[in-house]
Amino acid sequence: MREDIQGLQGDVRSIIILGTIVFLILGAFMISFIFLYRYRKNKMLLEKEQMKTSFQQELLRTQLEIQEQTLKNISQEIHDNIGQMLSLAKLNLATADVEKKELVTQKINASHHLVSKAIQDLRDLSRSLNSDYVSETGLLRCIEYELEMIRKTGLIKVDLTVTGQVYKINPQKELILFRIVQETLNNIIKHAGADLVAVFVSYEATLTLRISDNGRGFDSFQLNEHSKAKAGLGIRNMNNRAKLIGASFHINSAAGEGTEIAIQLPKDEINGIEKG
Amino acid sequence: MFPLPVHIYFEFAALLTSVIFWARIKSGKFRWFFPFLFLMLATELTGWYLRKENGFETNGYLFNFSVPTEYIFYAWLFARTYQTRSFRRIAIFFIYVFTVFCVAIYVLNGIYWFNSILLLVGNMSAIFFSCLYFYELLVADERINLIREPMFWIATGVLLFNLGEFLYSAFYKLLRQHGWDNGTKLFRAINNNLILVLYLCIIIGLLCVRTSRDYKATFAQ
Repeated sequence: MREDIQGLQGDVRSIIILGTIVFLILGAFMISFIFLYRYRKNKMLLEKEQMKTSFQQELLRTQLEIQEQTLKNISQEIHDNIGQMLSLAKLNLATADVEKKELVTQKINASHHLVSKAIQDLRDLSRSLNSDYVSETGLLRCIEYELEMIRKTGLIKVDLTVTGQVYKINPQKELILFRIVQETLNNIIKHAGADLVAVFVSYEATLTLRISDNGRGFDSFQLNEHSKAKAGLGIRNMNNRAKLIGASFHINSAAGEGTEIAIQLPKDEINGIEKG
Repeated sequence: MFPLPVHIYFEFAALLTSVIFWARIKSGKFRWFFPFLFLMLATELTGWYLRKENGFETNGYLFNFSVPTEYIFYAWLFARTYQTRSFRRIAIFFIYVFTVFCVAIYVLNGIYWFNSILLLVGNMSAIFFSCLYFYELLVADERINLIREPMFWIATGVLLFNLGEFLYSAFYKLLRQHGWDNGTKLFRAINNNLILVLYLCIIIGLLCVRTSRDYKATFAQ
Protein backbone atom coordinates (compact mmCIF):
# COMPACT_ATOMS: atom_id res chain seq x y z
CA MET A 1 0.00 0.00 0.00
CA ARG A 2 2.78 2.36 0.98
CA GLU A 3 4.70 1.41 -2.14
CA ASP A 4 1.61 2.16 -4.22
CA ILE A 5 1.28 5.61 -2.67
CA GLN A 6 4.98 6.26 -3.19
CA GLY A 7 4.61 5.15 -6.80
CA LEU A 8 1.64 7.48 -7.24
CA GLN A 9 3.61 10.31 -5.66
CA GLY A 10 6.42 9.66 -8.13
CA ASP A 11 3.95 9.59 -11.02
CA VAL A 12 2.35 12.85 -10.01
CA ARG A 13 5.72 14.53 -9.60
CA SER A 14 6.83 13.21 -12.97
CA ILE A 15 3.61 14.43 -14.60
CA ILE A 16 4.11 17.87 -13.09
CA ILE A 17 7.77 18.12 -14.12
CA LEU A 18 7.39 16.69 -17.61
CA GLY A 19 4.09 18.47 -18.21
CA THR A 20 5.61 21.77 -17.14
CA ILE A 21 8.54 21.24 -19.50
CA VAL A 22 6.17 20.36 -22.36
CA PHE A 23 3.98 23.41 -21.62
CA LEU A 24 7.01 25.67 -21.56
CA ILE A 25 8.29 24.26 -24.85
CA LEU A 26 4.84 24.80 -26.36
CA GLY A 27 4.80 28.38 -25.09
CA ALA A 28 8.28 29.05 -26.44
CA PHE A 29 7.30 27.50 -29.78
CA MET A 30 4.17 29.65 -29.93
CA ILE A 31 6.11 32.85 -29.21
CA SER A 32 8.77 31.93 -31.79
CA PHE A 33 6.05 31.29 -34.36
CA ILE A 34 4.43 34.68 -33.64
CA PHE A 35 7.81 36.33 -33.87
CA LEU A 36 8.64 34.77 -37.24
CA TYR A 37 5.15 35.34 -38.60
CA ARG A 38 5.26 39.03 -37.64
CA TYR A 39 8.72 39.37 -39.14
CA ARG A 40 7.44 38.10 -42.49
CA LYS A 41 4.25 40.13 -42.27
CA ASN A 42 6.24 43.28 -41.49
CA LYS A 43 8.38 42.62 -44.54
CA MET A 44 5.31 42.13 -46.70
CA LEU A 45 3.64 45.27 -45.32
CA LEU A 46 6.80 47.28 -45.99
CA GLU A 47 6.86 46.07 -49.61
CA LYS A 48 3.18 46.95 -49.94
CA GLU A 49 3.80 50.45 -48.56
CA GLN A 50 6.72 50.93 -50.93
CA MET A 51 4.60 49.79 -53.85
CA LYS A 52 1.86 52.19 -52.83
CA THR A 53 4.35 55.04 -52.59
CA SER A 54 5.87 54.25 -55.98
CA PHE A 55 2.37 54.04 -57.46
CA GLN A 56 1.54 57.48 -56.04
CA GLN A 57 4.81 58.89 -57.36
CA GLU A 58 4.18 57.42 -60.79
CA LEU A 59 0.66 58.81 -60.74
CA LEU A 60 1.97 62.26 -59.91
CA ARG A 61 4.57 62.02 -62.66
CA THR A 62 1.86 60.93 -65.08
CA GLN A 63 -0.32 63.89 -64.12
CA LEU A 64 2.58 66.26 -64.66
CA GLU A 65 3.37 64.78 -68.04
CA ILE A 66 -0.26 65.02 -69.10
CA GLN A 67 -0.35 68.65 -68.02
CA GLU A 68 2.86 69.33 -69.91
CA GLN A 69 1.49 67.67 -73.03
CA THR A 70 -1.79 69.53 -72.67
CA LEU A 71 0.02 72.86 -72.44
CA LYS A 72 2.00 72.01 -75.59
CA ASN A 73 -1.24 71.11 -77.36
CA ILE A 74 -2.90 74.32 -76.22
CA SER A 75 0.00 76.44 -77.35
CA GLN A 76 -0.06 74.77 -80.74
CA GLU A 77 -3.83 75.00 -80.97
CA ILE A 78 -3.89 78.70 -80.11
CA HIS A 79 -1.14 79.46 -82.59
CA ASP A 80 -2.22 77.25 -85.49
CA ASN A 81 -5.97 77.19 -85.18
CA ILE A 82 -7.66 79.80 -83.01
CA GLY A 83 -5.14 82.50 -83.89
CA GLN A 84 -5.60 81.80 -87.58
CA MET A 85 -9.38 81.90 -87.31
CA LEU A 86 -9.39 85.19 -85.41
CA SER A 87 -6.89 86.72 -87.85
CA LEU A 88 -9.12 85.70 -90.71
CA ALA A 89 -12.15 87.17 -88.97
CA LYS A 90 -10.23 90.38 -88.35
CA LEU A 91 -9.18 90.48 -92.03
CA ASN A 92 -12.78 89.93 -93.10
CA LEU A 93 -14.01 92.77 -90.96
CA ALA A 94 -11.18 95.08 -91.96
CA THR A 95 -11.77 94.57 -95.66
CA ALA A 96 -15.56 94.89 -95.47
CA ASP A 97 -16.69 97.77 -97.67
CA VAL A 98 -19.74 99.45 -96.13
CA GLU A 99 -20.80 100.70 -99.55
CA LYS A 100 -21.35 97.10 -100.74
CA LYS A 101 -24.09 95.90 -98.44
CA GLU A 102 -24.29 92.36 -99.80
CA LEU A 103 -20.54 91.81 -99.48
CA VAL A 104 -20.53 93.26 -95.97
CA THR A 105 -23.27 90.85 -94.90
CA GLN A 106 -21.34 87.97 -96.42
CA LYS A 107 -18.11 88.98 -94.64
CA ILE A 108 -19.89 89.55 -91.32
CA ASN A 109 -21.49 86.12 -91.59
CA ALA A 110 -18.13 84.54 -92.37
CA SER A 111 -16.54 86.38 -89.42
CA HIS A 112 -19.42 85.33 -87.20
CA HIS A 113 -18.88 81.73 -88.19
CA LEU A 114 -15.12 81.98 -87.58
CA VAL A 115 -15.53 83.64 -84.17
CA SER A 116 -18.14 81.02 -83.16
CA LYS A 117 -15.72 78.26 -84.17
CA ALA A 118 -12.92 79.95 -82.22
CA ILE A 119 -15.16 80.21 -79.15
CA GLN A 120 -16.03 76.50 -79.42
CA ASP A 121 -12.37 75.57 -79.73
CA LEU A 122 -11.52 77.76 -76.76
CA ARG A 123 -14.20 76.00 -74.71
CA ASP A 124 -12.67 72.62 -75.59
CA LEU A 125 -9.26 73.92 -74.68
CA SER A 126 -10.39 75.33 -71.34
CA ARG A 127 -11.91 71.94 -70.49
CA SER A 128 -8.59 70.22 -71.15
CA LEU A 129 -6.91 72.64 -68.73
CA ASN A 130 -8.89 71.20 -65.84
CA SER A 131 -6.61 69.05 -63.67
CA ASP A 132 -9.29 66.35 -63.31
CA TYR A 133 -9.93 66.48 -67.03
CA VAL A 134 -9.26 62.78 -67.64
CA SER A 135 -11.32 61.46 -64.74
CA GLU A 136 -14.19 63.86 -65.46
CA THR A 137 -14.24 63.41 -69.21
CA GLY A 138 -13.47 59.71 -69.31
CA LEU A 139 -10.77 57.77 -71.12
CA LEU A 140 -12.65 57.36 -74.36
CA ARG A 141 -13.57 61.04 -74.74
CA CYS A 142 -9.96 62.02 -73.99
CA ILE A 143 -8.67 59.65 -76.68
CA GLU A 144 -11.21 61.11 -79.11
CA TYR A 145 -10.01 64.60 -78.27
CA GLU A 146 -6.35 63.63 -78.81
CA LEU A 147 -7.20 62.07 -82.15
CA GLU A 148 -9.18 65.16 -83.11
CA MET A 149 -6.11 67.29 -82.43
CA ILE A 150 -4.05 65.02 -84.69
CA ARG A 151 -6.72 65.09 -87.38
CA LYS A 152 -6.75 68.91 -87.31
CA THR A 153 -3.11 69.00 -88.38
CA GLY A 154 -4.26 67.56 -91.69
CA LEU A 155 -1.14 65.41 -91.94
CA ILE A 156 -2.43 62.22 -90.39
CA LYS A 157 -5.76 60.48 -90.85
CA VAL A 158 -7.26 59.02 -87.71
CA ASP A 159 -9.65 56.18 -87.09
CA LEU A 160 -11.27 55.19 -83.80
CA THR A 161 -13.16 51.92 -83.30
CA VAL A 162 -14.94 51.14 -80.05
CA THR A 163 -16.57 47.81 -79.27
CA GLY A 164 -18.50 46.62 -76.23
CA GLN A 165 -20.42 48.53 -73.57
CA VAL A 166 -18.32 51.44 -72.27
CA TYR A 167 -17.70 51.17 -68.52
CA LYS A 168 -15.95 53.24 -65.91
CA ILE A 169 -12.42 52.38 -64.88
CA ASN A 170 -10.65 53.32 -61.67
CA PRO A 171 -9.71 57.03 -62.26
CA GLN A 172 -6.05 56.50 -61.32
CA LYS A 173 -5.73 53.64 -63.78
CA GLU A 174 -7.62 55.62 -66.40
CA LEU A 175 -5.13 58.45 -66.04
CA ILE A 176 -2.18 56.11 -66.53
CA LEU A 177 -3.81 54.43 -69.53
CA PHE A 178 -4.49 57.78 -71.08
CA ARG A 179 -0.89 58.83 -70.58
CA ILE A 180 0.30 55.67 -72.35
CA VAL A 181 -2.03 56.43 -75.28
CA GLN A 182 -0.90 60.06 -75.33
CA GLU A 183 2.78 59.03 -75.32
CA THR A 184 2.15 56.50 -78.11
CA LEU A 185 0.38 59.08 -80.29
CA ASN A 186 3.20 61.52 -79.62
CA ASN A 187 5.76 58.93 -80.72
CA ILE A 188 3.78 58.28 -83.91
CA ILE A 189 3.72 61.99 -84.77
CA LYS A 190 7.41 62.45 -83.97
CA HIS A 191 9.06 59.28 -85.29
CA ALA A 192 6.74 57.06 -87.31
CA GLY A 193 6.24 59.19 -90.39
CA ALA A 194 2.78 57.66 -90.65
CA ASP A 195 -0.27 59.09 -92.42
CA LEU A 196 -2.80 56.85 -90.69
CA VAL A 197 -3.37 56.14 -87.02
CA ALA A 198 -5.98 53.62 -85.94
CA VAL A 199 -7.12 53.23 -82.36
CA PHE A 200 -9.16 50.24 -81.29
CA VAL A 201 -10.79 50.17 -77.86
CA SER A 202 -12.61 47.06 -76.70
CA TYR A 203 -14.73 47.20 -73.55
CA GLU A 204 -15.16 43.47 -73.04
CA ALA A 205 -14.24 41.41 -69.96
CA THR A 206 -10.72 42.63 -70.61
CA LEU A 207 -10.20 46.23 -71.57
CA THR A 208 -8.11 46.22 -74.74
CA LEU A 209 -6.44 49.25 -76.29
CA ARG A 210 -4.71 48.82 -79.64
CA ILE A 211 -2.97 51.70 -81.38
CA SER A 212 -1.51 51.08 -84.81
CA ASP A 213 0.05 53.20 -87.51
CA ASN A 214 1.28 52.66 -91.06
CA GLY A 215 4.63 54.34 -90.46
CA ARG A 216 8.19 53.14 -90.95
CA GLY A 217 8.13 50.76 -87.97
CA PHE A 218 11.14 49.08 -86.34
CA ASP A 219 12.33 45.63 -85.32
CA SER A 220 10.31 44.87 -82.21
CA PHE A 221 11.38 41.19 -81.98
CA GLN A 222 14.45 41.94 -79.88
CA LEU A 223 12.45 44.28 -77.73
CA ASN A 224 9.92 41.60 -76.75
CA GLU A 225 12.57 38.82 -76.53
CA HIS A 226 14.97 40.58 -74.20
CA SER A 227 12.36 42.28 -72.07
CA LYS A 228 11.85 45.97 -72.33
CA ALA A 229 15.12 46.72 -70.58
CA LYS A 230 16.86 47.50 -73.86
CA ALA A 231 14.05 49.75 -75.00
CA GLY A 232 14.17 53.51 -74.93
CA LEU A 233 13.05 55.48 -71.94
CA GLY A 234 9.62 56.23 -73.41
CA ILE A 235 8.76 52.58 -74.10
CA ARG A 236 10.21 51.47 -70.77
CA ASN A 237 8.05 54.05 -69.01
CA MET A 238 4.96 52.85 -70.83
CA ASN A 239 5.75 49.24 -69.98
CA ASN A 240 6.39 50.03 -66.31
CA ARG A 241 3.20 52.03 -66.05
CA ALA A 242 1.17 49.26 -67.61
CA LYS A 243 2.66 46.80 -65.12
CA LEU A 244 1.90 49.17 -62.25
CA ILE A 245 -1.82 49.04 -62.98
CA GLY A 246 -1.78 45.31 -63.67
CA ALA A 247 -2.03 45.61 -67.45
CA SER A 248 0.00 43.85 -70.13
CA PHE A 249 1.91 45.84 -72.71
CA HIS A 250 3.04 44.53 -76.12
CA ILE A 251 4.68 46.13 -79.13
CA ASN A 252 4.42 44.55 -82.53
CA SER A 253 6.41 46.19 -85.28
CA ALA A 254 8.61 45.43 -88.27
CA ALA A 255 10.66 47.73 -90.45
CA GLY A 256 8.45 49.31 -93.09
CA GLU A 257 5.30 47.69 -91.75
CA GLY A 258 4.12 50.13 -89.15
CA THR A 259 3.74 49.60 -85.43
CA GLU A 260 1.01 48.29 -83.19
CA ILE A 261 0.95 48.55 -79.45
CA ALA A 262 -1.54 46.61 -77.38
CA ILE A 263 -2.48 47.19 -73.77
CA GLN A 264 -4.76 44.77 -71.97
CA LEU A 265 -6.24 45.37 -68.55
CA PRO A 266 -7.87 42.23 -67.09
CA LYS A 267 -11.34 42.43 -65.57
CA ASP A 268 -10.20 41.99 -61.96
CA GLU A 269 -7.76 44.91 -62.34
CA ILE A 270 -10.25 47.36 -63.86
CA ASN A 271 -11.64 48.61 -60.56
CA GLY A 272 -8.76 47.78 -58.22
CA ILE A 273 -8.53 51.09 -56.44
CA GLU A 274 -5.20 52.13 -55.00
CA LYS A 275 -6.13 54.61 -52.35
CA GLY A 276 -3.40 57.06 -51.38
CA MET B 1 26.88 34.79 -1.12
CA PHE B 2 23.27 35.92 -1.63
CA PRO B 3 21.29 36.16 1.62
CA LEU B 4 17.99 36.20 -0.30
CA PRO B 5 16.67 33.80 -2.97
CA VAL B 6 17.77 34.82 -6.48
CA HIS B 7 14.23 35.47 -7.76
CA ILE B 8 13.78 38.22 -5.17
CA TYR B 9 16.76 40.06 -6.67
CA PHE B 10 15.05 39.89 -10.04
CA GLU B 11 11.88 41.33 -8.54
CA PHE B 12 13.94 44.06 -6.96
CA ALA B 13 15.68 44.72 -10.29
CA ALA B 14 12.28 45.08 -11.99
CA LEU B 15 11.15 47.54 -9.30
CA LEU B 16 14.41 49.44 -9.68
CA THR B 17 13.91 49.60 -13.45
CA SER B 18 10.45 51.09 -12.97
CA VAL B 19 11.98 53.73 -10.68
CA ILE B 20 14.93 54.56 -12.94
CA PHE B 21 12.75 54.79 -16.04
CA TRP B 22 9.88 56.49 -14.27
CA ALA B 23 10.12 59.48 -16.60
CA ARG B 24 9.40 57.18 -19.55
CA ILE B 25 6.62 55.14 -17.99
CA LYS B 26 4.86 57.79 -15.91
CA SER B 27 2.48 58.94 -18.61
CA GLY B 28 1.04 55.57 -19.63
CA LYS B 29 -0.43 52.38 -18.25
CA PHE B 30 3.04 51.06 -17.40
CA ARG B 31 3.32 53.50 -14.49
CA TRP B 32 1.17 51.09 -12.49
CA PHE B 33 4.06 48.64 -12.59
CA PHE B 34 5.74 50.64 -9.85
CA PRO B 35 3.10 50.00 -7.14
CA PHE B 36 2.51 46.50 -8.51
CA LEU B 37 6.18 45.51 -8.36
CA PHE B 38 6.54 47.15 -4.97
CA LEU B 39 3.62 45.10 -3.66
CA MET B 40 5.00 41.88 -5.17
CA LEU B 41 8.45 42.47 -3.74
CA ALA B 42 7.05 43.34 -0.32
CA THR B 43 4.90 40.18 -0.36
CA GLU B 44 7.79 37.96 -1.45
CA LEU B 45 10.11 39.43 1.17
CA THR B 46 7.51 39.06 3.92
CA GLY B 47 6.66 35.54 2.76
CA TRP B 48 10.31 34.59 2.68
CA TYR B 49 10.84 36.03 6.17
CA LEU B 50 7.78 34.27 7.62
CA ARG B 51 8.82 30.99 6.03
CA LYS B 52 12.32 31.35 7.37
CA GLU B 53 11.11 32.17 10.86
CA ASN B 54 8.02 29.97 11.18
CA GLY B 55 7.98 27.43 8.32
CA PHE B 56 6.11 26.99 5.06
CA GLU B 57 2.48 26.87 6.21
CA THR B 58 2.54 30.25 7.92
CA ASN B 59 2.66 32.58 4.89
CA GLY B 60 -0.33 31.29 2.86
CA TYR B 61 -2.64 34.17 3.77
CA LEU B 62 -0.17 36.64 2.25
CA PHE B 63 -0.43 35.01 -1.16
CA ASN B 64 -4.21 34.77 -0.82
CA PHE B 65 -4.13 38.53 -1.40
CA SER B 66 -1.13 38.98 -3.67
CA VAL B 67 -2.15 36.30 -6.19
CA PRO B 68 -5.61 37.82 -6.99
CA THR B 69 -4.03 41.28 -7.11
CA GLU B 70 -1.45 40.00 -9.58
CA TYR B 71 -4.01 38.48 -11.93
CA ILE B 72 -6.39 41.40 -11.69
CA PHE B 73 -3.46 43.65 -12.59
CA TYR B 74 -2.55 41.54 -15.63
CA ALA B 75 -6.18 41.45 -16.77
CA TRP B 76 -6.38 45.23 -16.43
CA LEU B 77 -3.11 45.66 -18.32
CA PHE B 78 -4.36 43.49 -21.19
CA ALA B 79 -7.71 45.31 -21.18
CA ARG B 80 -5.82 48.58 -21.66
CA THR B 81 -3.78 47.05 -24.47
CA TYR B 82 -6.36 45.25 -26.60
CA GLN B 83 -7.50 46.96 -29.78
CA THR B 84 -10.59 44.76 -30.09
CA ARG B 85 -13.50 46.00 -28.04
CA SER B 86 -14.84 42.51 -27.27
CA PHE B 87 -11.44 41.44 -25.89
CA ARG B 88 -11.38 44.52 -23.66
CA ARG B 89 -14.86 43.69 -22.41
CA ILE B 90 -13.88 40.09 -21.64
CA ALA B 91 -10.88 41.29 -19.59
CA ILE B 92 -12.96 43.85 -17.68
CA PHE B 93 -15.69 41.27 -17.10
CA PHE B 94 -13.07 38.86 -15.74
CA ILE B 95 -11.83 41.49 -13.27
CA TYR B 96 -15.31 41.84 -11.76
CA VAL B 97 -16.08 38.13 -11.75
CA PHE B 98 -12.69 37.18 -10.36
CA THR B 99 -13.01 39.74 -7.56
CA VAL B 100 -16.39 38.33 -6.55
CA PHE B 101 -15.01 34.80 -6.87
CA CYS B 102 -12.07 35.63 -4.57
CA VAL B 103 -14.35 37.09 -1.91
CA ALA B 104 -16.56 34.00 -2.13
CA ILE B 105 -13.54 31.72 -1.72
CA TYR B 106 -12.30 33.72 1.28
CA VAL B 107 -15.72 33.42 2.90
CA LEU B 108 -16.01 29.69 2.17
CA ASN B 109 -12.44 28.53 2.82
CA GLY B 110 -11.05 31.25 5.02
CA ILE B 111 -7.89 33.20 4.34
CA TYR B 112 -5.34 31.53 6.54
CA TRP B 113 -4.61 28.63 4.18
CA PHE B 114 -3.51 29.32 0.68
CA ASN B 115 -6.42 28.88 -1.77
CA SER B 116 -4.78 27.25 -4.80
CA ILE B 117 -8.01 27.56 -6.81
CA LEU B 118 -7.36 31.31 -7.06
CA LEU B 119 -3.92 30.59 -8.48
CA LEU B 120 -5.30 28.04 -10.92
CA VAL B 121 -8.02 30.39 -12.19
CA GLY B 122 -5.43 33.19 -12.34
CA ASN B 123 -3.05 30.98 -14.35
CA MET B 124 -5.76 30.08 -16.83
CA SER B 125 -6.92 33.67 -17.22
CA ALA B 126 -3.37 34.94 -17.77
CA ILE B 127 -2.71 32.25 -20.40
CA PHE B 128 -6.00 33.11 -22.10
CA PHE B 129 -5.38 36.89 -22.08
CA SER B 130 -1.82 36.47 -23.35
CA CYS B 131 -3.12 34.32 -26.20
CA LEU B 132 -5.71 36.97 -27.07
CA TYR B 133 -2.96 39.57 -27.15
CA PHE B 134 -0.78 37.37 -29.39
CA TYR B 135 -3.77 36.80 -31.66
CA GLU B 136 -4.16 40.56 -32.03
CA LEU B 137 -0.46 40.80 -32.87
CA LEU B 138 -0.87 38.13 -35.53
CA VAL B 139 -3.77 39.79 -37.30
CA ALA B 140 -2.67 43.43 -36.94
CA ASP B 141 -2.34 45.10 -40.35
CA GLU B 142 0.43 47.47 -39.42
CA ARG B 143 4.14 47.06 -39.05
CA ILE B 144 5.04 46.13 -35.48
CA ASN B 145 8.58 45.73 -34.25
CA LEU B 146 8.07 43.06 -31.59
CA ILE B 147 11.54 43.55 -30.12
CA ARG B 148 10.63 47.15 -29.24
CA GLU B 149 7.06 46.38 -28.15
CA PRO B 150 6.83 46.49 -24.31
CA MET B 151 3.61 44.49 -24.16
CA PHE B 152 5.10 41.71 -26.27
CA TRP B 153 7.77 41.10 -23.64
CA ILE B 154 5.35 41.38 -20.76
CA ALA B 155 2.85 39.02 -22.42
CA THR B 156 5.70 36.59 -23.17
CA GLY B 157 6.73 36.59 -19.50
CA VAL B 158 3.14 36.23 -18.30
CA LEU B 159 2.45 33.37 -20.73
CA LEU B 160 5.58 31.38 -19.92
CA PHE B 161 5.21 31.92 -16.18
CA ASN B 162 1.61 30.78 -16.11
CA LEU B 163 2.08 27.88 -18.51
CA GLY B 164 4.90 26.67 -16.29
CA GLU B 165 2.97 27.10 -13.07
CA PHE B 166 -0.32 25.72 -14.33
CA LEU B 167 0.27 22.01 -13.69
CA TYR B 168 1.65 22.57 -10.21
CA SER B 169 -1.40 24.70 -9.37
CA ALA B 170 -3.68 22.00 -10.75
CA PHE B 171 -2.08 19.33 -8.53
CA TYR B 172 -1.48 21.62 -5.58
CA LYS B 173 -4.35 20.28 -3.47
CA LEU B 174 -3.35 16.68 -4.07
CA LEU B 175 0.29 17.37 -3.25
CA ARG B 176 -0.66 19.21 -0.10
CA GLN B 177 -3.22 16.61 1.03
CA HIS B 178 -0.68 13.81 0.87
CA GLY B 179 2.29 15.89 1.88
CA TRP B 180 4.07 15.03 -1.36
CA ASP B 181 5.80 18.35 -1.61
CA ASN B 182 6.60 19.08 1.99
CA GLY B 183 9.23 21.73 2.13
CA THR B 184 7.91 22.96 -1.23
CA LYS B 185 11.07 21.85 -3.02
CA LEU B 186 9.22 21.12 -6.26
CA PHE B 187 7.20 24.30 -6.01
CA ARG B 188 10.30 26.40 -5.50
CA ALA B 189 12.16 24.65 -8.29
CA ILE B 190 9.38 25.52 -10.72
CA ASN B 191 8.06 28.80 -9.38
CA ASN B 192 11.33 30.52 -8.51
CA ASN B 193 12.83 29.80 -11.92
CA LEU B 194 9.69 30.98 -13.69
CA ILE B 195 9.77 34.18 -11.64
CA LEU B 196 13.21 34.85 -13.13
CA VAL B 197 11.74 34.54 -16.64
CA LEU B 198 8.69 36.67 -15.80
CA TYR B 199 10.60 39.50 -14.18
CA LEU B 200 13.32 39.47 -16.80
CA CYS B 201 10.61 39.92 -19.42
CA ILE B 202 9.01 42.70 -17.35
CA ILE B 203 12.39 44.46 -17.11
CA ILE B 204 12.91 44.22 -20.89
CA GLY B 205 9.33 45.41 -21.43
CA LEU B 206 9.85 48.45 -19.20
CA LEU B 207 13.11 49.23 -21.00
CA CYS B 208 11.23 49.18 -24.30
CA VAL B 209 8.67 51.77 -23.20
CA ARG B 210 9.17 54.91 -25.22
CA THR B 211 7.86 58.36 -24.51
CA SER B 212 5.86 60.27 -27.10
CA ARG B 213 9.00 62.38 -27.64
CA ASP B 214 10.92 59.20 -28.57
CA TYR B 215 8.19 58.35 -31.06
CA LYS B 216 8.40 61.82 -32.58
CA ALA B 217 12.19 61.47 -32.87
CA THR B 218 11.78 58.08 -34.58
CA PHE B 219 9.31 59.46 -37.11
CA ALA B 220 11.47 62.51 -37.74
CA GLN B 221 14.42 60.33 -38.79
